[in-house]
Amino acid sequence: MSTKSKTRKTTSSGSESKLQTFSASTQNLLMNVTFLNKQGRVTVECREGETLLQAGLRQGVPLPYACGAGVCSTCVARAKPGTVNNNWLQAPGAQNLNTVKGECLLCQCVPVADCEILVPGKAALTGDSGESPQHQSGQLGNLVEVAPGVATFELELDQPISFLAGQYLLLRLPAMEGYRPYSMTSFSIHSQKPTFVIKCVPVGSFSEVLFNGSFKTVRVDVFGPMGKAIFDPTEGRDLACMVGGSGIAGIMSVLRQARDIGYFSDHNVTMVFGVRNPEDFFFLNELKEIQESAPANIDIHLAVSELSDSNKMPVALGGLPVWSGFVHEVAERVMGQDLLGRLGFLGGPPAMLTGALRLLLGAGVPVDDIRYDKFG
Amino acid sequence: MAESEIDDWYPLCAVDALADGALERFQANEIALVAARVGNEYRAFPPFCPHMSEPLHESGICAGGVLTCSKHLWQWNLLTGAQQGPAEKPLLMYDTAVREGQVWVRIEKELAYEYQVEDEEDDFEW
Repeated sequence: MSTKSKTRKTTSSGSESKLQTFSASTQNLLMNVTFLNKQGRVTVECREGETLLQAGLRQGVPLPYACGAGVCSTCVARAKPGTVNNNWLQAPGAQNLNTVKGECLLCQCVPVADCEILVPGKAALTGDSGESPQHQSGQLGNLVEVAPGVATFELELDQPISFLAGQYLLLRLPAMEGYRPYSMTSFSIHSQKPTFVIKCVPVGSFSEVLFNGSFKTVRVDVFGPMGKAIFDPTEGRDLACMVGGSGIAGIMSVLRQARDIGYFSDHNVTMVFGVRNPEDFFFLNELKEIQESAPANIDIHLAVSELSDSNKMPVALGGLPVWSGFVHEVAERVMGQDLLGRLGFLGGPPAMLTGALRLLLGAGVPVDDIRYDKFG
Repeated sequence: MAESEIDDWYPLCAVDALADGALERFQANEIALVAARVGNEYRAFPPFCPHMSEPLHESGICAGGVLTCSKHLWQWNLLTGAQQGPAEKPLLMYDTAVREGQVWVRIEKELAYEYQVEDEEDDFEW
């Protein structure tokens, strides 16, 4: 064998007790999955029903990913045909795969036997990811509609979790083909009841269950925490936040942690939160409360993109100034040339993200200073 | 130069039809490509991102002479095609020239990327 070989010890004492979402009959069925590339190889155990990505990340393998939910294509890899099953053939991120060559998404495939997985890229698979997402389950609750078609909800977890501001959990209902990512809006060091925000979409099985009320009797499979669009207070940087609609979720967590630790006594943030119409806003009381915690250093603006009657445009809502335009347009107006040197935190639909990216890159902000989840 | 093939050169557009920082998709000799302008320099390259074949005229962002694919933030120097940041492959480039107010592109053969996961040097075979 020409490449360095390493087998990761996977006794999983500590993580086994958290595996409560897989049935008892499958917990003992383990398969050996070997991830390899030119930098080396590592073998981990994969539980039946567990995706390749989850098995690797759970055991500290630094696999490439940016959503874990079949959207971003970052985790494309190769498996010998017939050794893995694809949970979600219609995943948006799986549409350009060369399945003849065995290309698959690590986040959507489960092994059916011991297998080898070729992972592209230059990352050393034998390093430690520094992440340790785990399986568990939880109960949805406290659904509150905060704007038309938008609700907040709580997830009561069986085990408390520690997460970083900006991270998300993968959630799956029994009838769903795969997990969906939801960023926490709350922040606490050890959390057993994180909160989330969800936009009701017509064909979304998750939002359907939430909005028709049947969530009260349904258990949710949970995997996480995940995500690299995180806030690290030790970086000591000023922030530029551009968010649209429910994409505000992870940034709420960032703002809450930053406020709680007094970050804004030394650093400033300018934020633009955009929706289509004034009645679509939510979290305004929370944003105003955060803004008042350090008014000299926290600047929050609201953007409305689709108001047809400009006479109905409010000057302010919840004590925060309202502007007409898309998020990136308002951000350019209020931040101008003051973007360079800031960390950019983005969240929202693809068109909004593209506009915000264009603004930040045009201002010379390096990509390493731009953080967002690639769910869309 | 006439409006036809001469030594593999094909007309692309008028110089002022491409705005600075814009990305436009064109067909030349029935081959799709994307053209970009950086100041008074013009560049033409295959229409898909060398990473995961995103259509660059939609996912690409030109700023400060740098092309960024918004899908995974791979970046290239637009003048040289050299990769930078997280990108792991260079941008393939067609030769371009400006003559008599027209941007021309030289297409000897279609440029394309190999997208399959690298495995040639591994002991990973089936």
